[in-house]
Amino acid sequence: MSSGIKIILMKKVIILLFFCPFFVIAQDVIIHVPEVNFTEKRSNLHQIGSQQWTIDTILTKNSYSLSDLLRQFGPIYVKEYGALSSSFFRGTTASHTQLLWNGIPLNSLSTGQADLSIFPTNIFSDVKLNVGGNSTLFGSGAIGGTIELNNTIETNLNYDGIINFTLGDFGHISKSFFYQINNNNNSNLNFHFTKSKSENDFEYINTGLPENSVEIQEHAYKSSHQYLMNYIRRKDKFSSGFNLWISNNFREVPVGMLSSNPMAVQWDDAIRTKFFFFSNQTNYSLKLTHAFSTENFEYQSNTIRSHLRTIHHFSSLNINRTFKKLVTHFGLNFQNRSVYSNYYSEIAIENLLAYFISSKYQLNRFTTTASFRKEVHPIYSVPLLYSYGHNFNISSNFIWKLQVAKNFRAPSFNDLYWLGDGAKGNTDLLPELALNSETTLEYKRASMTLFSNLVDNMIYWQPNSESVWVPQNLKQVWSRGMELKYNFNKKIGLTDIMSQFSYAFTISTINQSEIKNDNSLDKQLAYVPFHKASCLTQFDLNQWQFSMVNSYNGKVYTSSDESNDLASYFITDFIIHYQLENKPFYLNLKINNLLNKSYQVYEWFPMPGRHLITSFNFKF
Amino acid sequence: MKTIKTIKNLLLITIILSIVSCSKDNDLPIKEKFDDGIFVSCEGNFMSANGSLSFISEDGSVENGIFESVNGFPLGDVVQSISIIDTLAYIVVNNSGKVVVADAGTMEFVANIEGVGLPRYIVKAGEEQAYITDQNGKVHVLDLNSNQVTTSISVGYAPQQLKVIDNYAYIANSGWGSGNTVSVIDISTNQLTNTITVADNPANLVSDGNYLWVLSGGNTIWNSDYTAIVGHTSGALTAINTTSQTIEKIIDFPEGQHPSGLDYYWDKLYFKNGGSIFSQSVYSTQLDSNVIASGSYYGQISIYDGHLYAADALDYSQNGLVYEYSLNGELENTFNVGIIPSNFGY
Repeated sequence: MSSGIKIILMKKVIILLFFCPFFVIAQDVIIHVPEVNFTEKRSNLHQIGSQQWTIDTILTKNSYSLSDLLRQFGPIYVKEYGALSSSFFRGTTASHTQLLWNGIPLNSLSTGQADLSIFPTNIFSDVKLNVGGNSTLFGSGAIGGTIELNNTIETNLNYDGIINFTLGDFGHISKSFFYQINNNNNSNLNFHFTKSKSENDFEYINTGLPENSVEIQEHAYKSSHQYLMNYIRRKDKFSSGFNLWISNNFREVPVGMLSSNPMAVQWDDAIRTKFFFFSNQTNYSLKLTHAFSTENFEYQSNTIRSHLRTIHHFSSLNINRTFKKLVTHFGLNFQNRSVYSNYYSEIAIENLLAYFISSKYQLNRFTTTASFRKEVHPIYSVPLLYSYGHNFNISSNFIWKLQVAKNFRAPSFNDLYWLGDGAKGNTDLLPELALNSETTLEYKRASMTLFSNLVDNMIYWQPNSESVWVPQNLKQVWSRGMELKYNFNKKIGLTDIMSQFSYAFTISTINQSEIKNDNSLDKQLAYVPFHKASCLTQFDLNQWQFSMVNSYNGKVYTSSDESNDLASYFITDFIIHYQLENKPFYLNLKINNLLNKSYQVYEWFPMPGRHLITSFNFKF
Repeated sequence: MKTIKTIKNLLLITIILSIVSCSKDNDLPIKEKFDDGIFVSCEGNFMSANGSLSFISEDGSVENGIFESVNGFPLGDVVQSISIIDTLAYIVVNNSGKVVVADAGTMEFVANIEGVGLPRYIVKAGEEQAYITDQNGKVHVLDLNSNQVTTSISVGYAPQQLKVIDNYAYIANSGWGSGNTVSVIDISTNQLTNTITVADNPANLVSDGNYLWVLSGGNTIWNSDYTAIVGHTSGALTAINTTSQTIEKIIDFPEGQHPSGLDYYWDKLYFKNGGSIFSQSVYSTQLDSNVIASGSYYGQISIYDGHLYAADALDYSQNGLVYEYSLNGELENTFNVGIIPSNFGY
């Protein structure tokens, strides 16, 4: 072996050691017995045949936003620029990820996308990723996968409330308050309030200028108020309750390193509420929900004023019936959506009816599910959607999963109704249709998934011969790849060690195009990295907990023909959690971008170097 | 006699030699890399600093990202247009709010001109100054020696192309569709001296040596809150007599058509209209144009060295194409250039 190869190998070992230190000693692993449960949650049905990832709370409690969280951990590539942050899940585009809060879709009705930068993560009980699409259960947009923000009532908490005060670099201040009232497990009310602001005025090197001078990001102030209330009341086999979430966000919209600043500001305000009634009998269960949300969006710059108001009613009925080894699930939902925009000629109203049927059958080591969904829409027609999945326990610690599903993404309100500023919506658009198939092998706490996702009728905005921008169904995209996941737990002496590793390899290319001379054919989609890896490692020792998150985002192309690219980056964050002995205080210190890397996730938009965030918490 | 003849011959030889040596040393310029060919300004994506400059050489080769590859840093956000003034290239970077000056032969960076609002086009106007149109409704006067803006002149909203003929600069005030004037500025005093009313949305100007031709794209009429298209106004080709500064000829386009992109070559006007490139004689008094080529074109068209160049931005996210046509419309070459090619300069 030549010394050159030796050095490269050494480097690899060092990288591996640093990236995920406990891989190297991971020999005996706690045996993982897969859970098989019969609950009503749709996401549990989704787990048959595919994967669900729960993100550790040390990350959800110490991230500025969902965007910040998903950039650090998991398989999703996050594209952040200006005030917008969007997700690229399994090589699909931003409108192919469905974001849900307690089952309610959060994607904007106008764009079909969710702006991940306005969602905090610390007010939710858990953040879950359902990797792989499943429109039969989640409806439009669930092509690459879904992200769930859930508020579950935790009755076994050893405290009533938490007061939190957070201070960070670049003028970050956040205060939050949590309180819950528990009435003998019969009812529970909890309340969460968070107020935060940040000047976001970090320094960066402007590599676009001849002198590569150090500049300070300007006009990037943001503030947010979040009020969240959850209530549940249980009696015998019935339960009912509500969730209420009021969210106010204000942001100055920063521009790229070389752009002149139109001094844009943006308001995103929303009120979301959901009422539910749940009856759980021996052989069947019934769930009725009604969700109502209203959003108010305003954008103002030197030249543009945009105002959008949406009202969304979402009613659903779900019935579960159990016959020995067969569980059937029937769902019906009705949506009434209306959007006012100063760019629509009139208030756009859509009524949407969807019904689905799903059944799950278990025979010894074999669990299988099949679902069908039909959506009735006044403007476009959606074909019958279906999904099939199974889990086969080959042995006690070896599982084979398979899923095949037909998914879709409906044209957004902007795609259909926009009119103004040289652009025009198109009501002749067809929904984007996707055929997803995937298979997973799980061995103990390791898993490997292979997936393929063919998305047809992809919607692109293009100018027509009169130079008016119009959306059209233009391209077909095929994304495929592999995901690896590995969890590790071990106790050495008094130290608990936990490590979670994820890696995604994605090839996502344009298969067909209606554009003449298109050079994007067979090329990787812009902003889809071939490689993304992340690893969270935690040590628990008495009152101390040390966590390190490493994330590697491979090179991405920034143009559709692979002619321009952005370099890969490797970011390390470090978190220290300290619980005072016998006192209700705990402290968190997080060092973001520990190695002070200069990187970009979107061309010419700077990211901050090393910065600190400290939080003081008091439990009572 | 013979001696005289010999002396004469010697003198002649000396003169010839001195001329030859003279031109070798001083007169014949050294050929620079970007001397013979046409520059293509490629906008890049709005808000993303991936605008660039391509160069199509007369030998049929193309080189992309020429400014960045020479200087190591990019031009900026939306490279709108390029003009060559003397030996320098003035590259107008609209959404970076600057004009980048570089050596036209080598592309070496010279200076950044700031304080020009959101600039669109630059043209030499007088011995030592240039005019820059700014979409905020201004013309900035640039001192070519100091690269500083010395004064600014208010014109109509969203001025586009400008043209200097004799002692006057003509500025097409597009108003993004709603403008209908051409401002006239005396370049010796930098004062607005005249405003000529033309059809809606004037954006392009060419001179045929006799007339100044103004191409108005016609306007798309929206209702009061810009949410519905309620109609169109006609575009037109307007011929202005530059001596009297009066309109001599108006050639209207049918309502609903929105022509754009204009150039002139040998008694003919060339323009884009609805996915095709047309030509028509400058002597016509009505629209009698012929289609010479069709495609999905973006931006301007340009005739260089007897060939017509037009740009195609494809999906607006990849390197675009420039088509080279003969003046009869035969496709001669296709060049892969930067992202969203839109303007030409030579």
